[in-house]
Amino acid sequence: MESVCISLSRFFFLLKDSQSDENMHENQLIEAICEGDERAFSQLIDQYRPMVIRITYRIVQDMDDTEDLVQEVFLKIWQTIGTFKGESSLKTWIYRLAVNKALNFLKWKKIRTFILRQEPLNDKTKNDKNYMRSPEALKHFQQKEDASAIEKALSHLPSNQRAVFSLSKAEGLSNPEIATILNINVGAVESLIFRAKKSLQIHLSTYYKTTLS
Amino acid sequence: MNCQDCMAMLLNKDLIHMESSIELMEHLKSCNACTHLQIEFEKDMKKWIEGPAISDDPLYYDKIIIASNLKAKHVFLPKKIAAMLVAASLFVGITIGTLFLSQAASVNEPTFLSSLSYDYELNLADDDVFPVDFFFE
Ligand SMILES: [Zn+2]
Repeated sequence: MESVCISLSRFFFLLKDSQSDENMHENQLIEAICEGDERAFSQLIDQYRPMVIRITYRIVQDMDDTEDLVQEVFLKIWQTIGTFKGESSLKTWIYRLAVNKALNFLKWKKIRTFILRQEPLNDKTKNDKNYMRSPEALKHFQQKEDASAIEKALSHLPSNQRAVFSLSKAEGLSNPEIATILNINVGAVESLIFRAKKSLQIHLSTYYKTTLS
Repeated sequence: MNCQDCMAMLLNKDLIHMESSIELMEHLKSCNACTHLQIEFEKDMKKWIEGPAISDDPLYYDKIIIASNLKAKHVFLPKKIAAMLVAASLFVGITIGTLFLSQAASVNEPTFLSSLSYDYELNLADDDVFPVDFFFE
């Protein structure tokens, strides 16, 4: 019986060892990617893709845009990982790239909408990429039945508040971590979270009052 | 405690303090509407935290590498040719843009505007500090 226990523990030891071989440590992973190791990059994608999708989607609130942006984030990582200095964790650095990409995208979308708001929209088909990026489509998306009340309420917030609230409440990051990602001070993070909560409270109470009564 | 205060606390837990939490519990025991709201809110919160469904894509990595190789070709264009292309696209962009804005013709707007932004190098680098407040407040 004892020998069985020993061999089992040996088995788990070996299993653990082989797993750590397969999953390189962060520093090794970065070094390998810098040297152009595509297998290492593939591992990084597997590891971080769900995280990048989640945060991007929560900010832009459109799955088509999210897919494009996520691809751009990984392209950026592949091309610029050599500039990663290790001052923050790799995860924080990737969050930063993703959040900046999403916010910059929305900023341009807003400018586009502002310039082109006179344009009449014809043929509002779902396959029309232009329509999919329009405010009308966004509204349509927000009215989707499967969107949670929180998601609907968040769509009313300025996107920086949406980003901060998502990083804090959904991704579970600390305020100093969020401050690093957004390159703002902790006080500004606290203020953005506070404002986000206040607005959410107003939107949610209206929503629940009308739907639950 | 009235329903309005209770609702505010349920939706923004920062408002709950030691003294108010007892009052809140008592209100919830006696009020079906607020209990229902609490359940719905927690359910929505959970759904939102779980986020969008993410499918496995075994070819995802290959797509990135292909896109990266395509982009790399642009990056390594000789400077002279790149400058000529930028000038040409600027000219085309402005011409199409003028036509588009004056006649509200059915020009592909995101392409026009994004090319304009690239031509003028208006788009911020991803590592830049973004002046978000200016646009979103
Ligand atoms: Zn009540």
